[in-house]
Amino acid sequence: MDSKMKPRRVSAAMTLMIFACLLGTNLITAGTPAQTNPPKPIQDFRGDPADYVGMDTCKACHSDMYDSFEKTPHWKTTLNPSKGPEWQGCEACHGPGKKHVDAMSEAGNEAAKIEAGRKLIFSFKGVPAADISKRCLSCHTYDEEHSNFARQAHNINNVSCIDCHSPHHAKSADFLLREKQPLLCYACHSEVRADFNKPFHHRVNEGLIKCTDCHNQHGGFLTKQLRSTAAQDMVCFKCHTDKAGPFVYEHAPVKTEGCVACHTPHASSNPRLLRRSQVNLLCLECHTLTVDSGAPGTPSFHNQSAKYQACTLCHPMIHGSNANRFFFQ
Amino acid sequence: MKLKTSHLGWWITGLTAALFFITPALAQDDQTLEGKDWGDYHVNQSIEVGWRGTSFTGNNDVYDTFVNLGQGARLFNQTLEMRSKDHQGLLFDTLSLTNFGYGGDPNNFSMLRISKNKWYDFSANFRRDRNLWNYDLLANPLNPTTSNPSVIIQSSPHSMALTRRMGDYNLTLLPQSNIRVRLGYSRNTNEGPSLTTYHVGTEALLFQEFKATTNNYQVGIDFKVLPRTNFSYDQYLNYYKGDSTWTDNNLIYALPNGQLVDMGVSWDTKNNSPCAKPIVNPTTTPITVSPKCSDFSYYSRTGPVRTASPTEQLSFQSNYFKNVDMAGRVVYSSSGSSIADFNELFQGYESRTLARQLTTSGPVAINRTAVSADYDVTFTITPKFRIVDEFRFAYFRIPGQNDLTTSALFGSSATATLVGFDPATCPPPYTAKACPVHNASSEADLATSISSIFLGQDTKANTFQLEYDFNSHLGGRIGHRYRHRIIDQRNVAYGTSTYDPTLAKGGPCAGAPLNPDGSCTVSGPSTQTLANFDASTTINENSLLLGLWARPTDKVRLSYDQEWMYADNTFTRVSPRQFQHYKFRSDYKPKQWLNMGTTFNIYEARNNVYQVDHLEHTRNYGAYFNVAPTDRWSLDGGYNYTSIFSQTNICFIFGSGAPPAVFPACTIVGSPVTLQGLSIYNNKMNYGYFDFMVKPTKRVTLRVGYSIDDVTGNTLILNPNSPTGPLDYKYHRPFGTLDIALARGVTWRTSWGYYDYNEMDASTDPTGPRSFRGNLVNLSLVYSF
Repeated sequence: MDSKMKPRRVSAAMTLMIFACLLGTNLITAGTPAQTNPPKPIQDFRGDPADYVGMDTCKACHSDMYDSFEKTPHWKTTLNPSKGPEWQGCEACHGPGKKHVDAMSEAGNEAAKIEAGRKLIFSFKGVPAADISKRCLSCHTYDEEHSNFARQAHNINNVSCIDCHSPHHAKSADFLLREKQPLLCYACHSEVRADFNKPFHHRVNEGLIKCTDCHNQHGGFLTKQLRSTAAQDMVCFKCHTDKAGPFVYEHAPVKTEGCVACHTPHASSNPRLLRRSQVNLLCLECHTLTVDSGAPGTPSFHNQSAKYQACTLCHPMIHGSNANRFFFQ
Repeated sequence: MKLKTSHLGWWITGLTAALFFITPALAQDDQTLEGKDWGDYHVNQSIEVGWRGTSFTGNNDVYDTFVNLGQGARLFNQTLEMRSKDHQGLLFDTLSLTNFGYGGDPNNFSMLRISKNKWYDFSANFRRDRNLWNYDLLANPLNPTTSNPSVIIQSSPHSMALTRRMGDYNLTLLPQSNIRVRLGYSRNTNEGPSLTTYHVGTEALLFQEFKATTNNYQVGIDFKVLPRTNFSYDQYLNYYKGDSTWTDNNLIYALPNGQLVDMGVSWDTKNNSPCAKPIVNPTTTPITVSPKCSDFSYYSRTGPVRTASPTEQLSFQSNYFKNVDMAGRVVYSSSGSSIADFNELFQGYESRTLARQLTTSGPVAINRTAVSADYDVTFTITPKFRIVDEFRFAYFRIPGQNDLTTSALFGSSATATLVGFDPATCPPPYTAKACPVHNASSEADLATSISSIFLGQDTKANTFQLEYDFNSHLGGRIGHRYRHRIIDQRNVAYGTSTYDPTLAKGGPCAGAPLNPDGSCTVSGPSTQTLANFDASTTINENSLLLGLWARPTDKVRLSYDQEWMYADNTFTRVSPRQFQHYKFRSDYKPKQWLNMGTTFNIYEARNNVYQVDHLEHTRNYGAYFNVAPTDRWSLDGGYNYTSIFSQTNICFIFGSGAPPAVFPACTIVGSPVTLQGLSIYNNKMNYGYFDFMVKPTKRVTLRVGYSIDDVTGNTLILNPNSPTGPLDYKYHRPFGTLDIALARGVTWRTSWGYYDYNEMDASTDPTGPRSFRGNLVNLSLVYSF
């Protein structure tokens, strides 16, 4: 029967998969050339001011990159010379360019020297995500939004800032995104695309809600990188304000287990994004008297044979009530 | 009502074909638009306006619930980007404005961002969504056809037509300085007509004029007083107003005396709902019903809620110490909510208690105090090895109190004269005709109760992880999460109830002294609520965390996350005592134009203790690809399979006759209900999609696509009238778009979308069909520069 999930088999399969991944990646990496351009630790990637050449020098060879850069907010760094050249223009991200420029000038047409010269400027290609992100965060940590970036799921899974943002080739001018939401998020989270195509769904595909309305893509302090309301309540209550309470009679799981106790947050096949298609079963699964169950059992007059198809017919104020313990009104 | 446009397709085809043939002379080869210079600004703008035609058949209400795109002229999209050419504009450096959906679509969106280097960043967005919701199975009593009369409810008694408007406005002053100020304001209104139900003897259909308004104000300041360290302080004020009102406008039957009444939505005369023989005369208009049946002749409820929630937050982020990255925050919020005067009036008849009128009123006050503190730190021991610790403390308590007084009048039928107790007209032995009528189930004639309810939760959680990068291609982590929760619930209710003399000798008054007028007054734990209780639940959870990422080459990306959790207790029967969660993602990009990947997301959980036997899983497997070898064509596609399963042991009661053989007796000791079953929910969904774009010539772009949900499932169905409903459906959505460039920056766009929702309705489904099929055609002109 499908209901028996054979967790041991699943666990074993997962464990095997881990080892397969480890083995596979080690085998693959064994044959991969060493990283060609190892980044410096974040503390010292900004060099001596004398090693900086200024963006006009960069523009001479990389005019295409300059053209795109010139249209982005990053160009504003050039307006603030007070912090020094290491915080300005191309070299604010790519590091000091003097050695690279000198080497390329001397290289002429010699391929080996050109290749060697290329390695003397920081390129974001092939660099671990955490190191890329550190470069960005050296400027962009100035708010709570980014404050927990180091411990968030994207960072620890080797997803860097430039996997979502493109400083030179952004499709969306807002935040220099590679793609607009939700397609940007769907690119990796394909299971979420399936969710939002269910008939009952939050209006993400319609453009009304963005993934980042509920999740802090840069971190945050809660699991699943969820946001919260200002009053530290569930993010759901930012829109569904009438469910937030506080109520005299709280339906306790709403506050202790969260809305997800009864609803699937992205979407559902079931109306009101409920976890069950039959509302009465959703209720009975908790409201069956059991030794250590906190929820009261259903009384004997709750006849399931013909009426009371949905418990919420009589208990409509199921999220909380100020007047009736049984959520009648 | 959507218009039928049977010739719509021909018109569109003809128009599109005509455009296709006449445009070569007009079209420009180069569609790359670089924008225009307006003074010191470089401007890019586009606007798409047009008309949408709709043609559909099937269930109108479900169409509105799922799609709700109507016919008419629309602003499909508008964007404006302005950028100062030297990034030093007079009032702003950049401005972006986006609008869509105006003209009648259910979703309207506007966003404005303006910034000026060093001086300010401003963002504003406005969202309006119209939520027409009427999926008839929700809260439907599914009245049996064996009822006399048979009354089939064809729409949801909890349907709604709400409009939510949300505005968020944020201003940051001096965004690049060491001290910056943030100001914010958000407003959320949700209002409109909706339906709900209320139970007094029968389930009346109430008209709910829903109105909820929230205003949120924010003032914040960020400051850098130490190198690589930011502190932020924020003050919020959230103010909520709940002004919904409830009335009964469903008075569609009449008593013999002509009084209009609502008999409720539940009609099952075999089970005495609203009673065994409700109809007295079906030939009258309105139909005459029995005064011995439960009914509503009047109902109103008001109780404006006012909630103020001031919140303070102090947060910081620091890399001040070498190799230490940390962040933290402390938040304190204290909400006060009140209803100055809750008022409810019911008039009608409840046959069980003989209640004819119930009046409830009184004040309500609730507080909510929430405190949370977070501290997360990463120690970089070596360039490859990090120690991470995340601590979270979260506490809330919600003490609430109401002080409600309920007065009741009773009668022997819905047409009986309302009579209160008067010692002058109802002397001992209290059998005079002027004496009020009661029965053994009648509530007190006057009851005052004070209920104090408390809910609180204290959560402490700590996550400790070791992160190690084996090399630049492979890294992993292992960790442990501990969460400790204490949930407290307390209920204290004290009441004073007065019973008129006809009831004063029994029930709660038995043995109690009588008042001089023969009535009885008892005080003590209120009979209006459940017994007082004081419960505390302690839960300790331990999780093993594992994670791996690999990037064997620049073209391949793999990630894997795993969490195994064990808890020593649960708060609800369906909360997991153990779960395993596995997430795996792979992405392979062999070429810049080719990308493919897979995802597994598997969640297995159980609370398989004695008498509960709860098991559940959500298993999701998916694959996707994107191909875009040239600008001339691209193809995206994917497939996803989701299996959601749950089973839980439940006990219930099923009818008054002999139970069906499939349900054994409930084995739970002390259960007030007699039957036992396994509540099974099984939902399997196949989802697939593709999106193909081709440019046969530079001026023509064709895009076609398709997506499908194919869902099957089964569940325990207790009510034989209940259909499988949303557990068995197919939802097809093909679409196509044809863009024809008419001139530089001018494009004619024809797009078509088809919605084909097929719920596998059983022929016996009393409320079906819910399927619909709809064609939507947009004809629009896109102007951009």
